[in-house]
Amino acid sequence: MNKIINLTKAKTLFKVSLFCLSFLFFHFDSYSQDTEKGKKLFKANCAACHNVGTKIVVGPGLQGVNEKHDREWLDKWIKNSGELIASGDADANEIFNKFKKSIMPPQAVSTEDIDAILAYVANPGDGSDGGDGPEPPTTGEPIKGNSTMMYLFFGVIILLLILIITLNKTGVFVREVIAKDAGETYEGPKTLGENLSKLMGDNKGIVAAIVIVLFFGGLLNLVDGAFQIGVHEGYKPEQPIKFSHKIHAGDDKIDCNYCHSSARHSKTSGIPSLNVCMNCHKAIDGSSGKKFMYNGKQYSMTEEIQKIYDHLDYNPETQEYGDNPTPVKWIKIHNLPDHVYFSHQQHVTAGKQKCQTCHGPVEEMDVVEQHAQLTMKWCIECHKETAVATQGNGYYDEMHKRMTPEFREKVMSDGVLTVDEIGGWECAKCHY
Amino acid sequence: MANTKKYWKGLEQLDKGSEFVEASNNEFAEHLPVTEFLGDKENLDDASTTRRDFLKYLGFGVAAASLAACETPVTKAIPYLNKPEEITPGLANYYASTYYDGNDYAPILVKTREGRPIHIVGNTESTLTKGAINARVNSSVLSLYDSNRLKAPSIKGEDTTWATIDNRLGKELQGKKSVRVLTASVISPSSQSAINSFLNPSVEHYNAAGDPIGSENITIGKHVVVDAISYSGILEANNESFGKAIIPTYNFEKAKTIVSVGADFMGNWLDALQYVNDYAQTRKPDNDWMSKTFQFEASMSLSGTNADVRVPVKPSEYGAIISSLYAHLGGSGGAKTAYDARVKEAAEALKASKGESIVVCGSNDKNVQVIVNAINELLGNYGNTIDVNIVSNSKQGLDSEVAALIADMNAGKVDALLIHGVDPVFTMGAAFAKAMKKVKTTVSFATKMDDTAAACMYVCPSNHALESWSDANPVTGHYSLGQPTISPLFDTRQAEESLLRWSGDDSSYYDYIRRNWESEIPVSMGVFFTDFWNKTLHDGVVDVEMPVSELTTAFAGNVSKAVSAVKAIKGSGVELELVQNMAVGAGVGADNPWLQELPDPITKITWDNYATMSPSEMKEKGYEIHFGQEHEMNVIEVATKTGKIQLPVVAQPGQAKGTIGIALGYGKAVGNMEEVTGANAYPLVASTKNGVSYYVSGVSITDVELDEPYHIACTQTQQTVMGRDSVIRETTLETYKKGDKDAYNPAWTLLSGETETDEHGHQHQVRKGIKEFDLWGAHPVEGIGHRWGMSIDMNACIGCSACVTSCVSENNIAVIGKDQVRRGRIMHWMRIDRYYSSEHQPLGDIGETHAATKEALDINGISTYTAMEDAADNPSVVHQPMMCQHCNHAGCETVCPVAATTHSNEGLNMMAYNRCIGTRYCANNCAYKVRRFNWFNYIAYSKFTDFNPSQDDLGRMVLNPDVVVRSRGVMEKCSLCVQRIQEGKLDAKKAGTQVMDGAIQTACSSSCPTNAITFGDHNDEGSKLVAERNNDRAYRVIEEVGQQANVYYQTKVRNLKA
Repeated sequence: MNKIINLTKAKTLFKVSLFCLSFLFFHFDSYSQDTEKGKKLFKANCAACHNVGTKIVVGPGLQGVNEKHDREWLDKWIKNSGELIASGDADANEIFNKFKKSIMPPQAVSTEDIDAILAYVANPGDGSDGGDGPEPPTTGEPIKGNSTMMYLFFGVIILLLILIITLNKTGVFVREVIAKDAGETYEGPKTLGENLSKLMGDNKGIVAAIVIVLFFGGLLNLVDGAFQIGVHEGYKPEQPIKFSHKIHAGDDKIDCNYCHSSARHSKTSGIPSLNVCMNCHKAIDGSSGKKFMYNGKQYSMTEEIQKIYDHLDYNPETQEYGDNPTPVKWIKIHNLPDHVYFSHQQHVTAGKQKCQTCHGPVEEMDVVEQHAQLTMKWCIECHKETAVATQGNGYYDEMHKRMTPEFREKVMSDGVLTVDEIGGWECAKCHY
Repeated sequence: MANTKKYWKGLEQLDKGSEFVEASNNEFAEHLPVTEFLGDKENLDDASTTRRDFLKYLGFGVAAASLAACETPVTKAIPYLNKPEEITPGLANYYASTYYDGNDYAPILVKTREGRPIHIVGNTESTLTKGAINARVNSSVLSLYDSNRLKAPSIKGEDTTWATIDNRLGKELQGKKSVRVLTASVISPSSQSAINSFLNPSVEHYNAAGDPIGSENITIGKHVVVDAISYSGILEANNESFGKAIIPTYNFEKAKTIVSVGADFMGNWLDALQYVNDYAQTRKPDNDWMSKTFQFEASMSLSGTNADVRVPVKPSEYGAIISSLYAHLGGSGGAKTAYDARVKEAAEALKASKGESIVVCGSNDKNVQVIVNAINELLGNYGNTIDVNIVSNSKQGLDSEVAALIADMNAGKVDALLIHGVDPVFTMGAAFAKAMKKVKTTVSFATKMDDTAAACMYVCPSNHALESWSDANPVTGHYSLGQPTISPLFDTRQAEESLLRWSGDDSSYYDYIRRNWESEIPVSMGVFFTDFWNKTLHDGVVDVEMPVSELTTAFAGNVSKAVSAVKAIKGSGVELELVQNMAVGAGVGADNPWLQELPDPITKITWDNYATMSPSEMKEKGYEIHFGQEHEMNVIEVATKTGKIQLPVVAQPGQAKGTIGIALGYGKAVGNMEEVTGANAYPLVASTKNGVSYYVSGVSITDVELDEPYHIACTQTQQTVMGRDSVIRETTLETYKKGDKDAYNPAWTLLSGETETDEHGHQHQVRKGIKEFDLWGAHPVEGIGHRWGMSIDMNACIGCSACVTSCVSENNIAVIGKDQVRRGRIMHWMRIDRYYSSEHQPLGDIGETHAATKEALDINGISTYTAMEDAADNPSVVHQPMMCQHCNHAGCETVCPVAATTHSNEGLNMMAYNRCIGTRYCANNCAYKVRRFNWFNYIAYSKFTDFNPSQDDLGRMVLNPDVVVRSRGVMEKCSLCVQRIQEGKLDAKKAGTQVMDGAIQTACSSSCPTNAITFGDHNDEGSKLVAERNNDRAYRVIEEVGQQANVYYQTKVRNLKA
């Protein structure tokens, strides 16, 4: 009877350990999100001067910076390097002198942000170049951060298991020997399972506490995970033509509206048709054979521009169009569900929002990625904070006139009229 | 007191007292077998699914669903290669075009998105129709995407190429001298010209050496016009009276008295679309005068429902009534009829408005029409309200010519027959089909495989109108252009282009029209033709000063001969009147799912035609006179000398005793449905020596026993109003003109519970206005920002239902089919309630109506209603458009457990589909019963594949991309076209101005031919809506409930004595 109970206990134990394991996986997920966050912060704040490799851009490459300096020093340096230099710190002055006495500007980042950035620098993962080097990095296989950690983790688990089993066997053996020596037969638990269940049976309170903590922790993780379903932040698919927004919008400073002209007039921003490409690329035909950087690799301009010509069935020699054009099948990055009505003109023309507010620094991206979460939470948070562009708009003047004093008091008490205060949080403003 | 009428929605309510009351007290219309199910312990225990199993499956299902949801498909974005300048993805373009189907003519605006036509509204630039359309016009956009359209030309059923057709037909027509082109009335000058040049090709002559020595035009045949519904009688009567076979134009805007005998001039008679807006202008009680309409008719028509005085008469008496009216007006010969008092009343009214009246008759008998002409001549209407110099071209078919064609065909005298725009085998039946067999070469230009095309050797499918160029000259001096709004979807070729090709002209039809206009249409001095052309193409319509050839002869009809001929018309036995309804018309709408699902404005029946009969006669015969989900209808066989059909028989209050009415045009299959919908009634049309007649005497009716019960899908017995007369407010012009609002539209007061003592020392409760009673605090929409709303003028609404199909088109409303409609699940966001009413003793003071009604509805008190029964033989009718009232204190919002329906700061009652979990509490709590539940996934479920257009790729192209397609399990309802509101506001914000009054139109308001629906902003003090809301006639439906609707109605005023 006792044995049967033990067996059930062992089963329970197995289930519990599986459960625990699953949480550890979840924790891995959150760890990788931390580097993800660091990556973003790095790109936003550091990438202009630093590389995560060894290459000097403006400032030094940051590979191994965690080993070179202690965490406290780094915190001081990043937040205000000038102060550190002035304090006479030897390391600081050395770097100051090495980089021709140019001070690294103080960065407005929190300690947690620094943690994240350093975590990213320590483990930049693929695309470690940061996309800024004038040459592609020569590093071979990019380090697969997540999978390495996974191997490590499994290794440790297996080691631990072996250790536990060995210890258990040794322990039982020792006890048997002691019992034998005493002329008795050892009758305590023999197998690992029996031992564990005895241990747990003796410490029910602790086990219960652990189970409860794990259970609720797991639930929390599960909920967090569920919120990530369908969120494709950072979605960065390979496009059929290696069109670099960084070159066009960043280096060449072409206005977003030049190609995405309908953003001002229509619901959709519009993927530019090929005739828009040809406005420039009839002249810039790639015959110079120049190379360009795209996602850290070098490509030939000739080849990519030729793709436009192929789609249009255009012959640059004779400057004639054939009669067999084919459309370019771009991969859509920003996908909203069908039940959401999002209007670009509302935000760009009426709301006077910059493209970058939602799309991020596209002018710095070779391959465009989804910058924002595009969740409803993200929408309404912005609607909560953003002031309505009422200035000089007759529509809002009229609406202002139609406010009752109480209502005006309510919405204008903080001095700003935000989108939610004029109904930007209502269902039928976006769902119909 | 004020409202002395009782309104009842269907005969159940009027008639079947106790059963109805019981049923309306039940939450569900049909009995739910809950107790049986749960009481059946044995079976319940035996059920193989245990609770644990259920939970397991549920758990697995949730896990599987969430896993499946994690995968996101890769979406492609494919831009134009070379973007057309005028197309911006996401923005709609509107193109002016023209609708003409052989019956209805309407200048239209076509809304296109990304190159796809998706919505049609009337073109208000037209001085002729003033933007009026009907349901068939706006539903025609769906026919464009009908996957059963002919996709390629064929010879004897074998698909072929246009080159082969041109080649073979060219050879076959070579040297033929007796070709016939059979068409519907041609109102297009270019089309007429193309037909003429096909029939009169120029032939080159050569000398012996082979050099051309000149050419001459020869004639190879004749053009014959046949209208699906013949108006030959009017044409011939005018030929006799004025020397020209023409249809005059009527100016209803000037008509103070209108007498119609069997002519549904608001529905389907002649150019109804050119009359309705004008007519509605005369129905404004605040104007100096309001028109008065007399309608003598057998079946209840749309005009009959709107007439001030309606008299049910037999079709055989139409002639006698006209003669009698003629006699009352001073003419000679007419004898008294049984309805002399009413005829005299009409005559008096006509006399009082000489030169400002119109008399029309629906009869196709030349003699009757001659007397009608004589009456109008007597009244001096010619030159004032009726113009015989500015004529309508929309009906040109002469029965004699059609008869001659059939005779020629039978005699083998016709070499080739080309048929365009008509389906004579369908409308003329076996007689025509038999004659066609004698013709060697038959060519059809049909867009779908209709009965005639199936019998033709060559089928040369023409484009859909929205793929074609066209022009039209519906009335002297009025021209319009039709432009394609999409490239032909299939390998089709416009009929006119085919004719041009076969007459050796290789130009495109666009060039042909343009050339034709350049040479035919006079352009004002100093205007270049190109500018004129471009402006006309942009506007769609143009009015041109044409040299009118004045008729030299004054009225010269032989009235006495006509009167004696009319005297000879005798009815016998049961009389049949063949009519057209608003959905199907003469047959164009029969294969259109939107139109089949459109409830008939009067019977509210969908997906069927039927024989209408007087309820009292049906009771005598023992027929079922009620509709219901499971009510078995009686089916009868209606037989005339020319044919017989089987149809269900339906009670129609107001149907003249001894008559039945049947709608024409039915009997075609919808979508991929195997069975046809309704029965083709054309075989019942009688041929007389004077031409065809839609009135048939001596009809035999026999009961038919079917193996299976026959059900009818009727939309109006499911939702009753429990006899509350706060739904409809109606008064007479006399009462209204007295100016005492309390007499016809009193404000609501309720007993407050507080008492006061009057001067006699009696204590009584104080009555207070309904604003004093409220569960909620004041809503923040009052006076802040926008507050959208509507006002519906029930005086202007004629019930035509164009708004319903317009709403279907705008809001992607699902077609659910007859079976589901029968179960009370119709998805239409707006309906037009039709209430019959009859005079009777008032139940009580209007403020106490509710209590009084309750009492009356008590089973014992039901006798109160029996007084109305006699009136049911000729009730008056009210049409009331009903959609979400966007209550400021809405019942639905309070009961939603998930806040899926909430109130916006602009006064809208919002519905978030993705939040809805389908409890249907809101629908239960809605006082107006306007919420619709998606019982099935109509756009995917195989049960609906055959007729739901959204189930095939082509049919989905008609969907409005700005409105989400709802899925199963969610509630939906009128959103007040929130997508248009948002668009209108955005346009204003972009322009930096306030939203101009009238800039935003809902689908219903923009399609209303009589402008009965006004949409606007209650907070815009200068708006038309506010003016209407503050009007004395304005009231809110069941206002006493205190829901504070944003939709107002205008009391109906009939031109009657108090």
